[in-house]
Amino acid sequence: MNVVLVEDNPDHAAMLIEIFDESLSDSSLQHAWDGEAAIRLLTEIEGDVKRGACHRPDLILLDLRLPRIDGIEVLRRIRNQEMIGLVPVVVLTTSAAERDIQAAYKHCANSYLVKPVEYQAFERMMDSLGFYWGQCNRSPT
Amino acid sequence: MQVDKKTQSDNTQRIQEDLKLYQAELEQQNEELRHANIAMERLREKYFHLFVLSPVPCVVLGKRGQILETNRQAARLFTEKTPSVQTKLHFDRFLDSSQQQVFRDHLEKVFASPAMQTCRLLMKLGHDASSGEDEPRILDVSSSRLHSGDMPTCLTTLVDHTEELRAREKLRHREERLRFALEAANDGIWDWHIPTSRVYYSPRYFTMLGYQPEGWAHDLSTWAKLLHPDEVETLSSQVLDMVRRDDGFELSFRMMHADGTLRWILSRAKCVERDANGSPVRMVGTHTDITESRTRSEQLQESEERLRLALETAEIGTWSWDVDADRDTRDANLNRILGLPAEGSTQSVGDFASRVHPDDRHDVLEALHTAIEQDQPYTCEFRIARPDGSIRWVRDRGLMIEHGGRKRMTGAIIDITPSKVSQAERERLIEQLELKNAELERFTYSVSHDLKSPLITLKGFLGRMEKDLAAGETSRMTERMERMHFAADKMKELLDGVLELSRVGRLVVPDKRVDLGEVVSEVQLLLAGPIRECGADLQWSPDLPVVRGDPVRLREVMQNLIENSLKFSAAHAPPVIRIRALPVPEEEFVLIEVSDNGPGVEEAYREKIFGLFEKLDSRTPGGGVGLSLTQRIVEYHGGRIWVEAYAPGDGCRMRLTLPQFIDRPEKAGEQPEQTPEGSEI
Repeated sequence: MNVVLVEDNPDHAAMLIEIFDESLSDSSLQHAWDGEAAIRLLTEIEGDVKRGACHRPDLILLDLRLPRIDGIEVLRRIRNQEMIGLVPVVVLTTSAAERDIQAAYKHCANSYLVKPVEYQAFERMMDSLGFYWGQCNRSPT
Repeated sequence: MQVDKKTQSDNTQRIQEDLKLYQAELEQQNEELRHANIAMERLREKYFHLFVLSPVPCVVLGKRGQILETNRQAARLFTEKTPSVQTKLHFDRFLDSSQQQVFRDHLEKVFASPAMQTCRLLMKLGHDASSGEDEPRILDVSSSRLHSGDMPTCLTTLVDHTEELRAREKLRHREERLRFALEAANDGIWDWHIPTSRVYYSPRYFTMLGYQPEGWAHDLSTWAKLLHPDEVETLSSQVLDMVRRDDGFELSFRMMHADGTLRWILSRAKCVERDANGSPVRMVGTHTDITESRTRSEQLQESEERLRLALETAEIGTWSWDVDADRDTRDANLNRILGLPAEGSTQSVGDFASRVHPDDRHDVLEALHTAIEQDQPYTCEFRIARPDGSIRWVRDRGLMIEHGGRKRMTGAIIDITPSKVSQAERERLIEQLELKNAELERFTYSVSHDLKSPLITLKGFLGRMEKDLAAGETSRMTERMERMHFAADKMKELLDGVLELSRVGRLVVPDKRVDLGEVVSEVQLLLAGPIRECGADLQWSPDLPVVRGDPVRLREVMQNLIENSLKFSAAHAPPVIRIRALPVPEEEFVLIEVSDNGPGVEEAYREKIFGLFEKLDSRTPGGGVGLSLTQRIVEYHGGRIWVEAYAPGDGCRMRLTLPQFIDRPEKAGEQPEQTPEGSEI
């Protein structure tokens, strides 16, 4: 499974990478530290995919509260891209605010997940996420 | 035979004597006849003159109504111009068409009976036609049959009653009209003959007091009897006095009604006759019951008084503007609102307009003119500039009234300054509340999001460590614990920031004189360590202004801004920080600029950086509270803070406004420092 992670909190990113390495051994993960970096990275991937240099990612995990360019803006720009725009985006954030959920779905997020405080729950959520988006879900090829 | 002869002579002698006697008798009779003839002739002449010259028109008519003879008056009646005797004309000719049968019946009766017959006829007579009068005249016709002559005739006299009857009719109409008028007016009438003290009272005089009109004495005692006992004495002398002095009088007094109630009576009188000395002989007057109108006018007076009191209590001013004459009548209340002497006055509307605040004058005049042109109610809210310089808010309403072709507008003004002030205050509070609400929302959002992050880190790595321990893996313990320490510190930092922020809402001493130059030098001392460490160059112009505010909070502002500049300094060179005052167009505010030579803030983030917990680089130290806090403090002082636009590479230019300190000695004297300085900080 090919995942792009957009996460500004270094601890959360480290934790997520550990969990992914553990449960999804065959996965590759690219990490962007903030909104700007995310857009740079995704634009790069967009070009590569178009050139046929790489496959389209299977999933984008997107935090909302990012320095410089926030997650919703990143999401909007993803959806404007021809190739990357088809990739499922799962919002993964600490915010449970209604307006964030609304904004995310308005900009065509495929799922909205609130980071659980409990570690066990976090791990289970990531397992399910890998299973669902990696095995159950079919994306356009 | 002798004897016979003698006898014969005796007889002859006797006959001769008899004849002599007869002759004497005849002569006497003849003389008498002659005398009678003379008398007859005289009589005939007398009657002829009587007939011809009589002032009464007379005609002699034949049996079929043909006019055989007319006297002069009759001739004049028939034809004005030729008063000669007209004959052979038929009487019918002068009759109104409706009268033919009446006249025929009359003639028939005349010739059938010896008695005189009369009838009334409507006739169209010659001189009527010439005077253009169509109205038939009314004549009383009397006819008597004449027996002399071989042909039946009658003598007819004609008496014209037209004028008299018309006058009588007119009088009757007038009397009727007067009667109707009096009845309609409900007035009683009296007619007082002063020398005899006799008084005529009309029936209404009594019925209006509930009495039968009959059985009253026709003198002054009746009036006195009907008067209210308290009035009799004063009124009697008053009336006599007025009668002596004037041509008439008008008095109101109380009379007793049959049902025992009091009635107010208005008596109007006029002297209609005076004697040779000029003393009044006869007075005529009317009695009018004015009880109701008097009660009404008393009620009106009372309600007017009530209204006046209400207007005064409510401080409502009223005005009435005669548009055509441009006369604006204002009452005392209105002048009071305008700050003028509290008396009613009349001015032109221009005077009123001059009292309106210059900025509102145009609107008020326009509203007035629109109302007049479109005949609509006028309503306007505006400011009044009083002569003493104070400003009052008023609400003015007016209505167009057209009376007798004159345009008039009346209206009322109410002082709404207190409600305007409280409305402004309310709006300000609402705005403040909305700001606070939005801030609170942002705050809750930030807290829920940002405080949760380190918690997730802590719990997450605890979970990882448990797993590590279960697997006997200890190699990453230190790294994990470091992350957890860092997260806990972060959390504390955030909590401190939140606490700090929550305190800014309470400026303890918001009106102090704060010298910004002193504040900056204090901050320089405070940050002496960090400044030395990075070799920063901090300088400020000597003309930094004196502002009004909370000294402790303002020091925080300067500290945050300087710290920021130190923190985000350029990588290649030591920070250069400059603080200076700039000229500002707004009065009462000063403009300060803090600039540095750092990377600055890109245009897209110049607002975002003031958000709570907002950081452009999550790896730099700090909780994202500093600028948020700074903005709050500046805004609490009524000022503003922003990142000034500048070219990339020019460093950051932070600008802020703060209230200027204006020395008001009287105010400083009035308000000694009551609040213990900094007690809540």
